[in-house]
Amino acid sequence: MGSVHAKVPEPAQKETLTVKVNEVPVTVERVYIDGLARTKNDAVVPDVKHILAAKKFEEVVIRSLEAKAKLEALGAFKSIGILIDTSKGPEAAGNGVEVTFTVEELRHVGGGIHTLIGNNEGSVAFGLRMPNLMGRGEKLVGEYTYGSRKTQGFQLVFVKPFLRAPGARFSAGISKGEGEFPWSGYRELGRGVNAELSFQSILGMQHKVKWEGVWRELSCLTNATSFAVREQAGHSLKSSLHHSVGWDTRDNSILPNNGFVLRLNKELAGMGLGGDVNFVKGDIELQLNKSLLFGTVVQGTLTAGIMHNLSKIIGPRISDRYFLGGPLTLRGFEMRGAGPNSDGDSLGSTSFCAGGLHLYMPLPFRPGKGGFGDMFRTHLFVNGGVPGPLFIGGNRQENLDHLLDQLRWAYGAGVVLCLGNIARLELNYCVPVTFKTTDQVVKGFQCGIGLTFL
Amino acid sequence: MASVILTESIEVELGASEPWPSHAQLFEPLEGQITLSDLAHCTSVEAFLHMCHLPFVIDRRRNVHHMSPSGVVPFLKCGAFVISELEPIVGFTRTKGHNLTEAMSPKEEADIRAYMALIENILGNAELYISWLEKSVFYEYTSPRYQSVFPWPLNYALMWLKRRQVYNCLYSLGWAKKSTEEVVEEVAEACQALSEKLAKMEYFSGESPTELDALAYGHLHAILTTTLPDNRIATEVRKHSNLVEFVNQVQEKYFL
Repeated sequence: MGSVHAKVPEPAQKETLTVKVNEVPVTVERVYIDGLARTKNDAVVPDVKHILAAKKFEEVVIRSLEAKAKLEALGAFKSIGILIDTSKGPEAAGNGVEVTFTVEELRHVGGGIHTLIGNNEGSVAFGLRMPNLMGRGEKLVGEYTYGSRKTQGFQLVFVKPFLRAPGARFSAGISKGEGEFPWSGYRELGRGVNAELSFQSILGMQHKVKWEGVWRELSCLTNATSFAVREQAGHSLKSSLHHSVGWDTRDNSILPNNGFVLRLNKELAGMGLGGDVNFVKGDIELQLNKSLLFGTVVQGTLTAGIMHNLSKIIGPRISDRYFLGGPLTLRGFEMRGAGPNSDGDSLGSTSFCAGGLHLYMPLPFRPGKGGFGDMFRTHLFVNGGVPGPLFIGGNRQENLDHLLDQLRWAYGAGVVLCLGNIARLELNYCVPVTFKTTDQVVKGFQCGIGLTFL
Repeated sequence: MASVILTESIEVELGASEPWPSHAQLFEPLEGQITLSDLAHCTSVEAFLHMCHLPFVIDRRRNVHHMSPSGVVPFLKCGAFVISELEPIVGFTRTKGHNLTEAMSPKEEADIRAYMALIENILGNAELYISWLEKSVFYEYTSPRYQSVFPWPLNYALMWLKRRQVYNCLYSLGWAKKSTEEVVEEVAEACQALSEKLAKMEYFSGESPTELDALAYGHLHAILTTTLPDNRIATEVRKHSNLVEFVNQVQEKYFL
């Protein structure tokens, strides 16, 4: 932004007047915000305050646009208009300007029907929301979802953002959901209540601390469900504390070119918090991306988790165990297809690790470049993992032999499509190389849709 | 639907070719958890298996009601087969060649069925009524036992859900609206009928035990040995000395 050319309409001579906006001195006399009804003043005033300190016209414009972005982030307004005008009136300074924000608040209640993409399923959601409930950006959202995997549920969440701390918010809610897990032969109904606090710390790391209380009811899907899963049927009450910290430096979360993401999650259930489920769990996810020549990106991913059961009476429940396999984790295997198995029902285990190496390239001959074609990538990968318990006691050599014995891996190639910057669709041809006879492998095409992929 | 029944009958036919395993398991609730009605059913099945001289091991779990394919305890795990309730278990053991009513005529078999229905409908429902709908028994006996395996606050929620379920079941059978006196009277009549059937015989059908004896033993033993705040049902059973004798004798022969 350097200069603005203004045409002075003179028929005889054409004179152009050049105004360098970054050199025009101004005094911002007033900033108005028009149209506030239920929004409180202290929610919006701090966002616009720094416009008053602008000394040059260019600064006024830039700061006004920044303020507009902050007001939009509040989630309280349908539209925001900015008007910058010279100040009028007898006490106006010679170079005074006034900035007026004309806002239109969202209605008290809004709603809609929309579709969601979860991990390997799609669902339709009927939602009702009440934005800006008490004037400072709080909102109450209620949603009923029905999914393609016959999952259905509803949730009611209250969210309060902390306006002076970026990325910080508190939310609390209740939820009820039922899901079927045919790969393990059971159906689970969960009713829960949760409270969550998220905030940012140094280097832009995002923290989330959450308490969750869930009443789970597990029942067998059919009479043919294996006994090892039948033993898990019944009620359990889990009261747990989660902490997760994420450090994301990628430029794009779905098809990143550069950067890395590191996530550490910890969960403590029971042990004084209530309920009859007691364990401590920790997992880590790491993804590194490096872009090479001609638009190719090489990506390495690693994830591992370990769970330690703390109950003396009941072993680790199937609902809390780790599962490996599926288009989102270990490609080349069916959903939950790699790992301990009983009569065709996947049992999961208390620890796992998996990793992958990917090479992404733009489509050959780049059709639709600059538009639709940019959402596609071709994809070469090799991925592997150890689904069983990682440590079996004994000495280091025995453990290493066990890990190598339990290793499963597959390679393949396919196409990746980025959906609306939120989700990813993959179609791959997989060749599983090492697996056990009880695993359910996919040799051929495998399609997956979801938000997070290994 | 027809295909489901066909698969089950094929499964049972296949199972018939295998002998009774040495490690059959009978799953029952925990001893501190079990209530009157469940105790009656569990003891009936145990007695039946003892009478057939079939070995089994009792496995106690806190979530047996949910593990059971029909929601009723006890259930038997025999190799790959999981069967719950006495009647299906009787049918299953028949396919393995153990039949306690082999020597009976069709009329005698029909008699046995009738008396088993009498015991289930009268004594069975009376037990449910007394444990779940009679206030003193419910608050002092049934409720603490049922809640003992669940954590707070789930125990209250599940207890009320179970009570409502039992109430609805008894309501559809016409028992929920009876008073405790009426229930005790029904039990008295049933005990009278059983006492007359047994008379001076060793077992209800003569010399050898049948599933009727197992069922009768299960219910009568549970009623006699469970001390409840309201013990009127046990008193009715004790009025008939031949029934008490029968219970003692079966216990001595098969359980000790």
